[in-house]
Amino acid sequence: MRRIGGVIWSLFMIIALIFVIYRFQDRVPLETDFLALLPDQEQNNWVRAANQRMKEKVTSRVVFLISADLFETARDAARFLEKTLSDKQLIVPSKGSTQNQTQDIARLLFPYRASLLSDKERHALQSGKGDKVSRRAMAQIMSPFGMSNAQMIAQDPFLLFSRYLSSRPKLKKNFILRDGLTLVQEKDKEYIVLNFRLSGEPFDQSFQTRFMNALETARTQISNEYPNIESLQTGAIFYGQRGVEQAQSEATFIGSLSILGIILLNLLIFRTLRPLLLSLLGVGSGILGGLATSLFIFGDLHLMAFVFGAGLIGIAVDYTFHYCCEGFGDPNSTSFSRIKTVTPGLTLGVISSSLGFLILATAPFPGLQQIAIFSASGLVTSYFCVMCIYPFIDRSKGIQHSQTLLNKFSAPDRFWSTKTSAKNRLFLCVIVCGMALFGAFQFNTDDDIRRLQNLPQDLKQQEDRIRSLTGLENTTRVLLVHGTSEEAVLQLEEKIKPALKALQAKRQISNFQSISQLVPSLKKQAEDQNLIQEKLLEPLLMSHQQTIGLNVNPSVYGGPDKPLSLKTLNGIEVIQTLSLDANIHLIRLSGVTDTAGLEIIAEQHADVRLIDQAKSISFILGTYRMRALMLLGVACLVIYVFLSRRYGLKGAGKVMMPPVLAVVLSPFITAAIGESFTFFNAMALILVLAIGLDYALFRRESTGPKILNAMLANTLSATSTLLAFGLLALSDMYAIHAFGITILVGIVLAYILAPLAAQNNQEKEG
Amino acid sequence: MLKGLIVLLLLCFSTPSVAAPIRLKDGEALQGHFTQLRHLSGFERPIKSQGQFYYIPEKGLIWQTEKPFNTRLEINKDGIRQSIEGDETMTISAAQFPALKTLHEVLEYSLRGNWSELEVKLGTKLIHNKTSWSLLFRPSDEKLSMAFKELHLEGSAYLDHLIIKKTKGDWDEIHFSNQMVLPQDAILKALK
Repeated sequence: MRRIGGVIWSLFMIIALIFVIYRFQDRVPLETDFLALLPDQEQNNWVRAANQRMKEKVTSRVVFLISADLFETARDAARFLEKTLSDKQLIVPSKGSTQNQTQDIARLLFPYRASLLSDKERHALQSGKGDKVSRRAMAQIMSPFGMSNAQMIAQDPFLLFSRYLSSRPKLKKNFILRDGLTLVQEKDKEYIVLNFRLSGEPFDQSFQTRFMNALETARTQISNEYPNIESLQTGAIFYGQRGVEQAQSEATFIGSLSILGIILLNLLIFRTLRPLLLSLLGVGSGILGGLATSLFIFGDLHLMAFVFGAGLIGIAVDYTFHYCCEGFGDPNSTSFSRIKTVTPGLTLGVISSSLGFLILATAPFPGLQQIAIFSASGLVTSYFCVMCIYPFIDRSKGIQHSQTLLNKFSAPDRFWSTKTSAKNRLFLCVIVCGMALFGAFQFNTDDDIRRLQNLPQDLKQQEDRIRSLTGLENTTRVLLVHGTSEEAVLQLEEKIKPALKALQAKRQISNFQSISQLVPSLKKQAEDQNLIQEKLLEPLLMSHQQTIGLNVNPSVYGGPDKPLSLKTLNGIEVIQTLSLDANIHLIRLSGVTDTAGLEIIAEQHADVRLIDQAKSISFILGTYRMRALMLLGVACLVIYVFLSRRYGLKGAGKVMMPPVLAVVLSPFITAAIGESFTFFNAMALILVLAIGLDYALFRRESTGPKILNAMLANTLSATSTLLAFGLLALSDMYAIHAFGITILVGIVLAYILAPLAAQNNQEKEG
Repeated sequence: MLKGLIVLLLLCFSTPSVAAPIRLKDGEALQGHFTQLRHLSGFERPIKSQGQFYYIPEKGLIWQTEKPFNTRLEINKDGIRQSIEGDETMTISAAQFPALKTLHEVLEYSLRGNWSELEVKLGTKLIHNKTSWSLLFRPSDEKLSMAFKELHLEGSAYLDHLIIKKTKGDWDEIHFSNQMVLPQDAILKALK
């Protein structure tokens, strides 16, 4: 039986190894985008698609601001940077400068001037004041320093078109165009603005590395060749890359600290490397098996899920401890006898932990699902490694040096059972309960993504600086407009425009930008064309032309051509940015001070949606914080039912008590030391439950002198867990820190309380 | 007696000295009348407009057209704003059109009478005639030449004549007359 299991396990390991190597060949299949962890709560397919497109657009942007003492120096440096990045195919070459784009828009739209009206002109014509339009044009034509020229005036004597173009809202600060580059000015300093689109995935690690290396090289060259260049940069890729870098450097520091501690612990207790090597095999095979399984199921794995999940698989170290501790003080112990003794505890442990994890997987939360599948499959792999492989590769006998050690580590057990420590017990209870009570008053939850994400200060400062210089808005708030056709979308945009204008007047938003302001719906074009024809051209064109000294030409505005469509402006950047899809457009908002009015607009129209990213992510974090707690409750219940088959209702209750108490108390105790309760703390409680349950189970399953062995194994396990996870509390990354601090408190509690799971005499008799 | 006659004769026959351009002092402003002709290629006749102008050193130039109808145009270092009876009809910012900044500077220096500064600024020399002077500026900078090919200024005590040659054969011609220097406060009061 064991032999067959061993063969199957080995085969699985070989397949898993080949699969993982294959998947890691081209690129690291680890996702680093924090948002990828979160569920897509959206019910509407179109909103979901739009969100996805928007995210791609936003995250694939990088912005540089470059300045120097001389414009020419900054210009050459900017061009050099652009050339370097596009030569290495890291950015999509830009289609032309903003200046050309503005000129292109003017050139492409000019033929349609007889059906395009600015709001003011439309209003004047609607109220029969065509003469006002005529006079305004005259004034502009007469203006000595005006920009109108003969050609323009001859083809558009009412200057309708220049009015139309200049009435378009400008969301950005005044950009200056020079030598095909866009500039912003602050005081006497000019900054060249470079806005690139990445040609690869901003959260793909290999792309990140290539990009950062190329950028670094370009920078070195720039600082050598162009004097006094100052530059600012921002983009999702910089945050993503920093996140990985930070995670790696922390993982190296905290990781080596904990590995060192665990090695020392093993050597100190066992005085041989064997248990360490066995744990390494157990945990290593678990991580490999889990990784292969989840890559197979999900395609990619999130970095965060990998870190959390690998931690959960670390529970397998406990299995090795129990297996090895079993041999303490028994010279006749063999690998087979040891495995036989720990089998019930181990099996119960792996089943209840996996049950707990799988219940997590029922939440429609990609992060939770990945963690659950990764750790459950990994844990099962480790379990089979212990069960089927250890007996064959471990030929050692029992460990002899141990009796005093065993006695030392049974302290928690004695603490709960001897009469002399009754006072201490009371003291501990008062301390713990007092802290928890104090914490209950301090208790507060925090779901604000902006705080939890804890963005690196220097990057954030650069981003803020760029935003204030360029007036580029954080695009986390936009309106999505959807319809069955392009025409329907444009009409809907026009329909909500008055409401948006009203919000502008109320200063809830400072401005907005939509496609229909550039390309009106066919309906609007037809209306405006009629208006222009009836109220302006027919009654006034001839006299107007005469007044300004033009030959009378009634057909100067052209005949009824084909109407203007979005296709005409194909390739224009504004259109590309605002059009997510033929049927979905977005309306860019700037200076949003209050979302109330926007929410009302969205409520009134089923096909209009307000996207408020920071708010919705915080909402999701809050929801899933609650959901994780609920699932934790369900998991407890399911595990309880499972355990009651073996221990009876009362016995199962006793086994469950220590881990459940640890889970309930630790949030309050951490609150007492000033920690907020977040989604990440809730996640840590799952680990506390799984590990705490193991302590209780092993204590419960051991009887007589073997209680000491179980307690030693628990001690080792708790110490190594604290070394592995408790140290995460030192992390600068909020999520990791929150995770670590909860584990730290929870595991200490679970360890101390574990002896309460033991069967007492009364129970035995009953 | 003879001496006196000789002096008188000399005075009569000597070339009249070049009229010194008037320079605005602190707290002074300039007011005058203008007639403008816009020559647009392909048009039957030039577009004519007339009105008053006011130059107030701190505020810029105010161009109050009275014929054919009232419009007001303000040009200063920030750009141009035009309005008809308080209703804004056009704004152009100098940041977007560098040529506007140059134009404003030319007007500012010439109306103030700061000719030597203007010569330095534009890198051209004033040409003195018998009773007047003139200045010709042809920008070599592409940013400027897109807006105007040539500026031609003529004046005596004040700036009298300005010609702006634009691209594609368009050109503007402005005659200034009845200029007078007044205290700045008086003009500001009158404008209100």
